Amino acid sequence: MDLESVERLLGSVSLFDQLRPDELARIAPRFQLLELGEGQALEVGDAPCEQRLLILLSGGAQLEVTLGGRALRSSLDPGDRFGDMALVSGHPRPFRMVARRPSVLAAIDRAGLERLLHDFPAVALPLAGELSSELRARNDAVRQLLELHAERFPADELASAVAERRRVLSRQRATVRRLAPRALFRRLVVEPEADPPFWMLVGFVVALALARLTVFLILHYHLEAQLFALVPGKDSNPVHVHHFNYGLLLVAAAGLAALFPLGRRALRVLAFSFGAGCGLVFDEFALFWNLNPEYARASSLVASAIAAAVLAQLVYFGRFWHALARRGWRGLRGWR
Amino acid sequence: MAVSRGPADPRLEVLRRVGFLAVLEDQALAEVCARSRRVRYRPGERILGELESGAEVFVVLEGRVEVSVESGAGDRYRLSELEAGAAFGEMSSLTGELHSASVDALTEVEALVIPDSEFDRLRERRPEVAVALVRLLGERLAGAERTVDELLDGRAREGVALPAGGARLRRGSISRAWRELVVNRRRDLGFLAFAGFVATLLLVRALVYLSFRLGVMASDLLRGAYLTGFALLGLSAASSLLTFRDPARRVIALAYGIACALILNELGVTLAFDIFFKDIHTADPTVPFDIERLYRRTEPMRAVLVALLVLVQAAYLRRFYRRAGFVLATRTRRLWARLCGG
Repeated sequence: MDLESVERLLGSVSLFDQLRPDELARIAPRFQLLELGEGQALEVGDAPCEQRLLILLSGGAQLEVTLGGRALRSSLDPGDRFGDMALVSGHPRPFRMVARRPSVLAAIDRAGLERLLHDFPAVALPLAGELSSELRARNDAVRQLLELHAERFPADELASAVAERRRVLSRQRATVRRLAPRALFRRLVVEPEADPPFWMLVGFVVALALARLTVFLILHYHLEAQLFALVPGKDSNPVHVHHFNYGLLLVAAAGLAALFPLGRRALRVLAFSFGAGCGLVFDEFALFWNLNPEYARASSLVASAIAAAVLAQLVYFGRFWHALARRGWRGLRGWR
Repeated sequence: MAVSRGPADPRLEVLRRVGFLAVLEDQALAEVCARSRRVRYRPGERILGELESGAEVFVVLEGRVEVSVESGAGDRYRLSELEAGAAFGEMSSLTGELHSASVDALTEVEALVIPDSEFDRLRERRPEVAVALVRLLGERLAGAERTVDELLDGRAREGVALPAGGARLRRGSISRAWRELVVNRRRDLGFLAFAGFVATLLLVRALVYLSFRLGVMASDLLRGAYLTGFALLGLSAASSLLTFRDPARRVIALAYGIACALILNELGVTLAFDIFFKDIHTADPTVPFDIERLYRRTEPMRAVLVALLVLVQAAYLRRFYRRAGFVLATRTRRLWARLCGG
């Protein structure tokens, strides 16, 4: 593989995508190029000096990480990498990489990476971000394990839960870094997805779209009697349980669960449920506003658009509004 | 919390002790000081809360702070204590993720708050800060990996449980029951939601009863009550997902209980209003629209009973359910593994 192709491929890896072409040309020769034939394996042991950052430049490979006596496999495509966390933390992670087809890998050891960081400190920016995410996952694991030990659960259950955590951690430690997503996708999806409002917006849009589509299909094909939840009673007309009631139930359940301590993942699930619940409620806004079952009213759409706009502001301009509110609050206090 | 924007910070010496700022020379440190704000916190005041979003970086200039996390059962565990020269919040600034622990002032604390934009600018203009951060985070990651391995191998490192206010054991009496069931739980979120629910339910039922008896504004009152309930439920549920400060969450829990009561009390109205319509396009002329008839349907009472049951469980029995759920889940997982293995 010629150096120009290596430079081009390194430029698509998130660690190096901020470098200029001339800088890429200067870092490319620092990598050792390894060629693996189909089925050929590369082993990296648990000695710190053996640790390598490996970036797959072409072909395809399978990564095998053995942790706690269990082998975990992931496949690598061009641009994917593994080994940087072990290299930076000095906590070795032995692994084996087997080529699925003829492949070329770029490899760099700890000393090489240190020199690279010294000469091209811009590489440290994305690396620090990735390290933070990794460290956060470990801190979560420490916390969960501390809780398990502190709760004094029965010994069998504790052992079983610790084994489960071990499996989850092994999967995290064997995670392959994928090729960097495109800038727009990263700005719109990857960056805001850590915050609950993003999941609220996703839940809202998904539920609203599904509800609109379902009701449209039911009304279009006259399936009301079969598919609407109609509960007969002593009245001449049955009670139709409108889907805003299911939405309210979802919002209430998410709100109650969120009052008690949560993990980050649970928070995202609850934020999604909340958004989905709001989507169902706003889809039938006109119904409960007017106490009239006429579905096709513009006020539902207007209310839904306003709710979606508020959520989008929270997701993409949350910091701006927060800063504005803080400045306003300070001004108010000063005025008083 | 008192905020002041210092002219030139005399404590550059403290900033030089912060690992990732130590690489900067005095002039750059002075610039960081000038672009940041100094904030004072009183003992016990929360500086940042677990699961809150926020991307500012804090440097302790004076005093001591405590880093702690809350367990699923509601206990608080102290992770560490930080003194002058320590920094926190830099991970959230790097990733934009939510804070993974709470930080509270143990003494009078003076902190330098570096805005996210300034920290971004600093990392981009002075990449050696990012390199120092990589080294610092690498060391922390290695430490966390070692701790995880120790804990997985059963060498439990005890988190220091912070003292929780508990009732002294005394003989059974009504006053003890009152103290344990109400007074000691007055800050518990589940209890506040329950209390808000019961109080609002009684109040609204009394108001609606009076308005029907006097024949004034009954339909406006009912419509106002359920619409307020919808809005309050949405706002309180959203806030509970976005705010993690204790005083704010107590207000949120109360609002949540009030919202549930307002909605469930008028459930007959919002659930069955279309019994007066033949279909979604035609009002049924044989059944005149009567909001009092809707209000007197029996569904609300059943729903209120279910809600009371859920809120009582949430207020008094959630620890039991958590333990029971944990044991059940692990036993099911073991049984499943045995079945799959077999």
